[in-house]
Amino acid sequence: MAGGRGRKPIHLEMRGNKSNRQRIWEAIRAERDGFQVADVAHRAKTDITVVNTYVQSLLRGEYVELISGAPYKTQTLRLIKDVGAEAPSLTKEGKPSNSGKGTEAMWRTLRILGELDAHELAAQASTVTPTTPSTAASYLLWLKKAGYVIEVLAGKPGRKARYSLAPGKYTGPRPPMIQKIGQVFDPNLSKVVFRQPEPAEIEL
Amino acid sequence: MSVSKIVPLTNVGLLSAAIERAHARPLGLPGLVVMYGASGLGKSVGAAFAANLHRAYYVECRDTWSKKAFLQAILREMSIAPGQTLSVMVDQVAEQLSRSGRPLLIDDVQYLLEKAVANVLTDIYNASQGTIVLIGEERVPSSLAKLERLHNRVLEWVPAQPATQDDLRNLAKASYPALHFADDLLEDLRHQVRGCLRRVAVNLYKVYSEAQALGLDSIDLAGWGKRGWFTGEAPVRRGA
Repeated sequence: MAGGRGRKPIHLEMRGNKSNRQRIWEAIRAERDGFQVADVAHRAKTDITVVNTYVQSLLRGEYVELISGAPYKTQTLRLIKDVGAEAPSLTKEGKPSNSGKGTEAMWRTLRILGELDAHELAAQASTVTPTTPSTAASYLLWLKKAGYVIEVLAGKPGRKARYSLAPGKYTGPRPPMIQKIGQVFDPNLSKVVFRQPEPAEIEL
Repeated sequence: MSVSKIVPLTNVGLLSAAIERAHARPLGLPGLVVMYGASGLGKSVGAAFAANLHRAYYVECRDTWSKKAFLQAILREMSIAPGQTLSVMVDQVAEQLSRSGRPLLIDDVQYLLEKAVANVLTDIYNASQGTIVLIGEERVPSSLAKLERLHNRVLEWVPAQPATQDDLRNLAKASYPALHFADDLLEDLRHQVRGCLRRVAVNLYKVYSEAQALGLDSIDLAGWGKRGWFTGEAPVRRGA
């Protein structure tokens, strides 16, 4: 790798707001040759139990290894598999996790295809994780409310509505999230871009 | 729960198979994949599929891009805060590509190849040895031929193919499951639009609306008659 050519380490830092895991990952990368959980928690400004959980996943997934210290004592670990700026998303067992990847695929597809309907969107996203047309339709609807997509062709019986990304609305690679309380959050801008006017929980 | 499946089109399969091979290539082999062809052949659908399958970084080039704009666009796609100088940015891109193992997909690459920006592409490739996929119009191979350093790093050329009879059948079935399109109708359409997938889609919709109006659940060439196809050519001027 680059290190062999005597270069300074390349500074890769994610932009936008960061999740706990992202900050933990960056702290680990900064101290790759030997780090302790308490230090990482301090640098990442994260609770130590959160760091512990993630480090356990990283250990099981063989991203980091133990270099000294016994369990429940002060351990020193080091990074052995550096996958770049983005914190690997892992399950408890250390396996790659698919959570959020379907939404990510829908968001990516919207940008690449330009114009599409809910079925096409679901089909593309199903490449990554099984996605139903109704999931895709609901994502499109929320994005439309937030002004991120425009309805190019209105739907009617026998014809699916077609949508496209609104001009200038590709805010970045991270998919806008639909939050359960009825709002759309854009992690690229780290702000809420749409809020349901009336609380939705009344109509349960 | 009904999960939609992607329509198995020829170009989608060609591109994703090529990327698959580039991804699994033995050490020391070059890692550039180039897909080229006229617009409307379904390159973007192929790109979307491949990008989702491999979680690729995707950028779509613009004619006005400078070296800096190009690098910034890639870094933005990677969510990485760009460095101060071009050379730092090249390093950042290369580092992230080789660390993450995710391919980089560059669409509409014809805009870059004739300009100095093309050298940035070579730099990124050399520094990362990653899998880089270039997608563009027909003239891409000839533009690339002038860039010797990049040209000999191409592992695979993937010319986009005109739509086949199977493509039309698959597309018709996926888009309008309730209507049966006869083979002779599809064949005539394929011939008239010269395999341009985008126009196929437009015309299938045209057939579908007519069939709906007439209450048909199956239609052939005789049934379609002389209604004609939308081929993108402007109507001929009628004799005075």
